[in-house]
Amino acid sequence: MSTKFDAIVIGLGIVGCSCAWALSRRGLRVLAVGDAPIGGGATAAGMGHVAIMDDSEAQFRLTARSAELWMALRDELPPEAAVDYCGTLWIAADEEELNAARSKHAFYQSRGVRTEVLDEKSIADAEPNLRSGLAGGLRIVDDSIVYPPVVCEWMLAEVTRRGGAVRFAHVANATRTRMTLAGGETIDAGVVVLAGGDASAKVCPWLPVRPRKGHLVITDRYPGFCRHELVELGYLKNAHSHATESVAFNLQPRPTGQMLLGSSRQYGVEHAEVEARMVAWVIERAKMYMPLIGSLRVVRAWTGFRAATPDSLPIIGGRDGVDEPVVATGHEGLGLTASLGTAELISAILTGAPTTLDAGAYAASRDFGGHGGH
Amino acid sequence: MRAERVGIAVVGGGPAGIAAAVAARACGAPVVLLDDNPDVGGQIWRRVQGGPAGVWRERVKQSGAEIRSGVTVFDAERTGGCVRLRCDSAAGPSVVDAERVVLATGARELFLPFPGWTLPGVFGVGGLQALAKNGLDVRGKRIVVGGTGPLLLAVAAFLNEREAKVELIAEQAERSGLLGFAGAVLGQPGKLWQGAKLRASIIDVEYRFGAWITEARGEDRVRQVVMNDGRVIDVDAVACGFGLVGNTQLAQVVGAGIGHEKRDSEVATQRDRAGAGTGHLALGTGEGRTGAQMVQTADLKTGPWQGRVVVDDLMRTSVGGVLCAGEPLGIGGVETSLVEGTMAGYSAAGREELARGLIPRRRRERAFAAAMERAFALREEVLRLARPETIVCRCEDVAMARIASCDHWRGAKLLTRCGMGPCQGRVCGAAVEAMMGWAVRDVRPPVFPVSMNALSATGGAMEGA
Repeated sequence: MSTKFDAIVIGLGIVGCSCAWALSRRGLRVLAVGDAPIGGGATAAGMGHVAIMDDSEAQFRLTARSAELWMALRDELPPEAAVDYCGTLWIAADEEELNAARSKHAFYQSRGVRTEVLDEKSIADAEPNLRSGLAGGLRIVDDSIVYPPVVCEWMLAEVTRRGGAVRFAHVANATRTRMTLAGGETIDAGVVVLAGGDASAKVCPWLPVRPRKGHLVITDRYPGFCRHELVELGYLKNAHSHATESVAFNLQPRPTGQMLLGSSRQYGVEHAEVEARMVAWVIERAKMYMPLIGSLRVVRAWTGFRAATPDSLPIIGGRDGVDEPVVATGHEGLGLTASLGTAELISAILTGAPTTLDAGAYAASRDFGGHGGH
Repeated sequence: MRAERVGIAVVGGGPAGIAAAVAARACGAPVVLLDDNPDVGGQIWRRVQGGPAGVWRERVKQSGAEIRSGVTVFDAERTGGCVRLRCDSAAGPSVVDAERVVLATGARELFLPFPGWTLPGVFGVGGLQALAKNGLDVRGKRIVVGGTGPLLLAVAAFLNEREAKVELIAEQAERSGLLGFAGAVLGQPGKLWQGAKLRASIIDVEYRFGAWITEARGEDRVRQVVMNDGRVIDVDAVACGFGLVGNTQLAQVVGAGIGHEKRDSEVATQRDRAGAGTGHLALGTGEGRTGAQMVQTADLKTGPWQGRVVVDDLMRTSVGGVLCAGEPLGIGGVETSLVEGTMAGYSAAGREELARGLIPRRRRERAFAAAMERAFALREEVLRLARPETIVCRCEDVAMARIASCDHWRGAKLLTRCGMGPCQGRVCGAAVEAMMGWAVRDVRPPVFPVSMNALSATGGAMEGA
């Protein structure tokens, strides 16, 4: 390839595409490389939920900044990106969870995020198909959903339009300025960014990124069956525990009227097959919150692998003095949400572009509690 | 929920499934036949009483096989020394653990998009026939039957009997191409007679070779069709038949190997591997999997290529305990299905020598089917009828232009949502495979839409296993 690129971005998922797009907006000629198709991998498998999260200050800042950037981008995206500001409804099953919802409300309010606490009656009004007797919930007003593969395609079209290129190829390894493809071909660039999701550790073996399998099912069209992205507050316990297997209720109304149901988390499973027992578990969990969901017809089930890190924060940036790519991975279930903030940070690190984000919290050189660095 | 262990489970109650059940029962093996229709017979023998349909239906009912009608098998998994079938029916979900499974899942119609094909009044030939059998009144209706293959004649004859006014039978194949086919038919007198009989019964209907519908017109419903020679015909309905596609979904889900027949450069490679350079049907040596693969490797320059379940001479797929017969192995028709079903039944019951005895017959039937496929191969013009704005995926309203901008099926699915709707690509997937030459291989359970309750009940049973 004769063209000289300023940057190579490895990975055609939402994080890689966002990085390539953000760098090209800063005037860089970018080569985006990865296994076909665009927006495959965890990006295609995921729900496409843009959610402002509060598990830690660092996570909040990254997801909140990303949500701002998604909001700013909404009118530029093609209609097929199916952006819908349906909001998230965190469901509190009991008084204890409702108290958690109240303290989350206080957290969000103090940081300017629009939220609302719902009591037993108002959550029933908001979502009539939830079972009765739930304590309440927390509504995050400006959370949204998008259809990620279309966003990826749009971003790479922008990259190409600005003199960059897209190449479908399997990457064997990479240094800070050189990428080697599986066929042996090498391509040099000003910098190489690695955004390969759970496969990133194949290029940078020290990365403490582990695949965490998830199952999702989608139904036929039932417009209005639910209105918000619904998540049980117990989800947080599940997402954060590093138990081998867990399941939490998470339901999304697609703009098509289809219901997208998750979610499971599994470590140590490498095959991508749909496991009937996990699907059954996901459904039984959902029935605890929405008994009527059992009668909905499922048209498809699938799996994907999230890139999980030991501290549940992504890894963004490069390590000084090590000849390896700058990385942007480890987003676990928040790749879509955090992609735009991640790209802004990568752009800031590589080009000095402004950002309100503090790179330190996500640095590749941080302490992973003995999990990384080996 | 019902959960049980059985000896042999046959999935599908068409000719192949019926024959498999009858053969296995004749060997004394216990058989459960699972069929999603109200009565056995499959699509081809639906509501057909006499003749071979009646004979075989009676045979299977007398065979001692347990026939369960109205049961949909939506998942199959090799697990713990058996094959687990997950099923749903009006009576609720169930799990059948079988030592051996014969997949006889039949075929569906191939729908090729052309301008106007989504208008009300445009049917598949099989679909219109089924509607008429179920009471749709076609008397006096002006109908053009178009597409390819002997099914056009059969359906036109049927419509004629029901007093429809069949205006034209448009066969896209050229008469010259069919002369070669006639040569093949001469070795099969029974089939020739069948064809002649059909022709005689619709002698007053115009039958044209090298003719096809290029467009259906109408506002609220189809009013006219435009033929390739520019002729415009007023119609009340259109019946299109572009051939059949084997139902390989359940075989794919259980992990059975799928053979490809590809166009372009890959055809040459496959032919070389099979050791046959002629480009015509390569018959296997009759031993083992390689031979089987060769039998499946027909000349592919003609016709759309479709994935076919690969079996050996005993009808065994690449997955232990899973056999397959009939249309999923490549469209072969009733006779092929009966022979292969019988072989699969013997084989599943452990009587391999009986199955082997039918190898020559199967080879003849398959040679005939291959000749037929060549004779009625879809021409490029027919595969290119869709305009950029023509809808290809009806579930998700995806137009041809959008699909043509993609590189492969998975990319098209992700970017256009083609094949993501309720039919899960059963309709548009086969069309896209034919038109674009893409492999459509991403089947996951459930193979058919099924309730969450059924998925949960049958999936949960795993934990106890």
